[in-house]
Amino acid sequence: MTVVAIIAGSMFGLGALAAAVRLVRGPGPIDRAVALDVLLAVLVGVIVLLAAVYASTVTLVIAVVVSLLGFIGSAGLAMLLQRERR
Amino acid sequence: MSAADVIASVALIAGAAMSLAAGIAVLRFPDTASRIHAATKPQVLGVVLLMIGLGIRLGTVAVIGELVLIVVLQFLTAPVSAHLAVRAAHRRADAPPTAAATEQGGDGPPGDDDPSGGRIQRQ
Repeated sequence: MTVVAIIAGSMFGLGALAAAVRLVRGPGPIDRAVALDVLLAVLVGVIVLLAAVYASTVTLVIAVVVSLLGFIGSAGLAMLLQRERR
Repeated sequence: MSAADVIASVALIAGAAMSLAAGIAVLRFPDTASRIHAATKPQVLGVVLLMIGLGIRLGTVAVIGELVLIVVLQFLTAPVSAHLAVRAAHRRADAPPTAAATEQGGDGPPGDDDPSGGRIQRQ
């Protein structure tokens, strides 16, 4: 399980790094919102991976809350951004 | 290492690979619509793979109920948030022209005879 944790953890890290670069660079605010969504999906994945590695279930509630908060955040941000026109 | 452990490991690594693909696609894809397209699919398939791995590894009824809850919530919310993001990008019309927009006649480089400059026009 340690090998799985190292491989999957480095994949999560690289994905989060790429999304963070897009979060900083992204030309429009929608791109930044999408990058934030990917970062939250990576966070849910890391929580689930930790639960699998340590065979513990206490952190799964955090995964539920983070996925719901990610939906609320990105949906609210999109509805806010579409109102502001140039 | 039993067979169940092997299946769980493969599922976990595949789910992590989906997240890696989402990150790279969000970084590398050229316009907003394709970035949203690439970012949404691993939110569903990657989460399902991770939940399969964790469910096989832990395997109690309470855990599987919670995992099914997370998967159902992702199924319900990921398409909605992607749709909202695409609609906001389309209405703001500050995205570069997508393939569907250039099919409708905006071929060639912007600025020749197209007063919109190749941008998506709102009605």
